[in-house]
Amino acid sequence: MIYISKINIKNTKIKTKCTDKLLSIFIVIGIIVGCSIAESTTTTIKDFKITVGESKETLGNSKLVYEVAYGKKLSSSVDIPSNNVAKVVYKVNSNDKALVAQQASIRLYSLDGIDITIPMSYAQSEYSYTLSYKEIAKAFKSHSAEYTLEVIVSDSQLSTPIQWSVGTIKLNFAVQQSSPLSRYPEQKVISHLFRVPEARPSQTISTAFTGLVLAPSAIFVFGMLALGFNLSRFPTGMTFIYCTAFLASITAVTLLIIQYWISLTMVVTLRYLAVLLIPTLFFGQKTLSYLNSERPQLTKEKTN
Amino acid sequence: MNKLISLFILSLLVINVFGKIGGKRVLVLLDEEQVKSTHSDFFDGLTKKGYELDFQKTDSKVQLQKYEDFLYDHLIILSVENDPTLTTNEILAFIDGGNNVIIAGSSIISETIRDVASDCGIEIEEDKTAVYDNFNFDKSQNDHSLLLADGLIKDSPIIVNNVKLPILFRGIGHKIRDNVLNYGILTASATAYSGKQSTKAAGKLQGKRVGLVSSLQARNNARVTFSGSLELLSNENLRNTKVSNKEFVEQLTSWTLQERGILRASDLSIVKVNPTSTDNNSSSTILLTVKDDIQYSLKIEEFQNGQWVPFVGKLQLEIICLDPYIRTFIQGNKQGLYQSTIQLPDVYGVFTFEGTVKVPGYGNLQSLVRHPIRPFRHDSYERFIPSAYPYYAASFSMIIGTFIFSIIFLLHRDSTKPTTSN
Repeated sequence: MIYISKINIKNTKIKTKCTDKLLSIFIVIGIIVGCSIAESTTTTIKDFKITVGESKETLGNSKLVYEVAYGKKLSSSVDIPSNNVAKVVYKVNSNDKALVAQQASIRLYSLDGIDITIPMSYAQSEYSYTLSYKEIAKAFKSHSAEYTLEVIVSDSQLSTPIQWSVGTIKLNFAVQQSSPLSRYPEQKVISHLFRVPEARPSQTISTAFTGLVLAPSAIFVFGMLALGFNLSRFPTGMTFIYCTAFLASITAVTLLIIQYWISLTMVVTLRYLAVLLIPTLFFGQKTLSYLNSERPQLTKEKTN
Repeated sequence: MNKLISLFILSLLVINVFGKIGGKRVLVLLDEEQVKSTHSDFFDGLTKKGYELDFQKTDSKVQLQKYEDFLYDHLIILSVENDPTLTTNEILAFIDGGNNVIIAGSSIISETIRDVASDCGIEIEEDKTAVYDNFNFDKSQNDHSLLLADGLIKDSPIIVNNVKLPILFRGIGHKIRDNVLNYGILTASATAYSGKQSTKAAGKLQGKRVGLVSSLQARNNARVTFSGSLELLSNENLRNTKVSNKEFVEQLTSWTLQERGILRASDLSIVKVNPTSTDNNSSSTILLTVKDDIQYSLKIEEFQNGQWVPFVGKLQLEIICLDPYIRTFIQGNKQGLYQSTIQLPDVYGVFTFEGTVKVPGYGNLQSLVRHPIRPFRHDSYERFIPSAYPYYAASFSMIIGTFIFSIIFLLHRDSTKPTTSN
């Protein structure tokens, strides 16, 4: 670190002095050479290691250790099973001396937009970070995916900060449902499931039973036709009008009851019925009393 | 007619809950007089658009509202090192009234502003910290805190769009809450970090989670924007052609001051497709019955360049009674009219018809109307069930049989009896 700062100071000093074109070209070359020297001799990352274990306590005994040299890439993706922990450790060396950089972090980013930079903690000349699912769940929105791991080491004194893509790691969060990644997650269409009407017997059965039910009426009609009937007691004179009106009223009431069956409501039917009952009662009384006055003769005749 | 009038009044009431759109009275609070000259381009831009700027010093006594009427429509606070005479509650009440606030600070932020920002979901880093980036800084000045930020918000093109060059930023960072109302408009790059100015050592807030410019769009459409850098708006940066500060600031201010992206709904109507005779009860509300086919129609407009134009998008309609029974998406036509025919569920109860538009960066639009959905009346079921034909046949044959029998019983005379009597 001290070495770089020296070069920088030297370069800037020369820069301020120079006026000549040739000199400036010379200095530019000097800076480039200086930079390349600084890069080759300065900062490296050493002992990069990812340890995967079941808990923080058992990490030390874990055999799942992935190591990779600076500048190389992990040969395969590191899979961290859910509920396990992983420890990322590396050292930052400058001229074979441990360096405390202003920024030493790891960055984990996925293709679908999650991009988290996590600071490392420094102890005993190495940087470490223990990744536990519980702690990162909120920031990662519990989103299980393959993340690219990057090491970022930078310092305002370093001429070229380090951004090293180590490889990929696979995070498996235990939760079933991850938090939505977009602001307004796409919502599904909901359509109502209508209740299915209950099953009904087939039409033929009901038709057959209708025929059965109508059979007595048919017997009644045919029997009546066979026995013969007449309307001889139909009165004449003034009572003829009463009787006709009575029959008309009864017909009207019958039709009203049929209409009630077809379309009318109870209230409306009762209202009409109340109106119809007045003539029915009046003409019924007239007709029936006439017919009854006729009846005693009949009974008398019978008794005689 | 009554129906229409009541719906019209209802929709008017809904709109009035939100603040007045298109207001031009701005209160500008400044720490130092000189900001007026160093940021004159920013203020001139506002004046050109017709805003009436009222400059006040931070320590002067100002009032935001009088007799529950707001004296200003927008508040701009630049450089917030000193506590303004306005209290946190006054500023929050201003926001709750549907008004907009722009705050730009530097490395020291006063307690009042911190409280306001924190209530708006923006947690500003400690005083005397700055955002550093050892990778993407302005190389010409060798200052690692002078960032070239290009992490613009991706999901809301209405806020900032078409900003091609990076944005020069120097200032304090913040963290925004993971919330649908918060918008991280400008965030740092993955290599940036927020650190103390003295040591430049990185703190806990790093990477893309470091907010540089963030906004809150409240549920009442009030917009609050916080920028960690006052320099972002300065003449020097706005005139710099190597960066896009000018475009960014113009778009950001016009969005924050509600010049676009505000929605309103009107002409809500719910009518039955096939009204039956029993529906003509001449009451002002329509009576909805289960399984009815209804036509839902709503008009949505968007505020753009000072006028309301039709908004063409997607409306989400939910018919809710505790749970959403139906959720559909209605595509609007060119007139901004959203129409759909829906069959109501076969469940009765008080249902809410909730039409919402959710587009990132646009204002909230929620059109709520509540209607009871009634069960069938006793006579609105199917009148004749085929399976019950034997039953009907029995009844009708009984009625007709009795009718015929009673006439014959009354008027029939046995032909044999008279002969015997004679």
